[in-house]
Amino acid sequence: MNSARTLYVILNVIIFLILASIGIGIFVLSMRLFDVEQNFIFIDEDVLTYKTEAMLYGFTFFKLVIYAVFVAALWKLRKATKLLLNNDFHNTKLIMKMFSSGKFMVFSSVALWFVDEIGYMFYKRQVVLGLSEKTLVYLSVIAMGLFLMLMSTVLRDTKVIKEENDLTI
Amino acid sequence: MPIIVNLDIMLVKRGMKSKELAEIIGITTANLSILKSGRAKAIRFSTLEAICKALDCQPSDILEYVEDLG
Repeated sequence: MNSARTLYVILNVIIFLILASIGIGIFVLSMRLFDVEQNFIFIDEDVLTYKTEAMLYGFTFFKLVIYAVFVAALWKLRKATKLLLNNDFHNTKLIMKMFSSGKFMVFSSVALWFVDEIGYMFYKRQVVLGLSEKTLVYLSVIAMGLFLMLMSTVLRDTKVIKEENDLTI
Repeated sequence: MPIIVNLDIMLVKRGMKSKELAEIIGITTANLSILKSGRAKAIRFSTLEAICKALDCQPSDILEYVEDLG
């Protein structure tokens, strides 16, 4: 199954890049917390102005948790794709991992979207109307998550049909 | 399950072993065991025909309906 193998490779690359960027972000944030000066990694300051520093770190930490949930979703999808590579379509693990991956994706996208909108509304005093690129990304991830949940339901139903067929003498 | 398969009784009546019947009708002993134990979800008409032919009996000799009291 070439498409499953390609997806597996792409997922591995994406997960690695996300983990690496989060790792670098945590490293740089730690350096700032301890007032360590550095100029080898450029930091892009967010224009949102939080009222207190606690709010800034709170929102950042909350976003980090949501990123972790998204990485968990990609990790589960990677494991599910590995099972697909073995042509084991009726495996209970595959069905469960696909479903939970979809669930995590929907949750992380909705949560991040919500956090962003709260930030824009209360700290920047701006309400964005219409579809921005960010909104399209959030909607795409939500759609992908829902599709994964749907596919897991389909695989579960086909598993039931197969089991019944196997017990047809 | 309300449908009971009386294959064991017919095999004893005809003096035939399960393995022998499985070979005659062309199914595995494992599948025949599933049928005998009542774990089968369905039976094909072709299989039922082959069993009746091998055991020289009617479908009603093999299949029995008992009302589920549970």
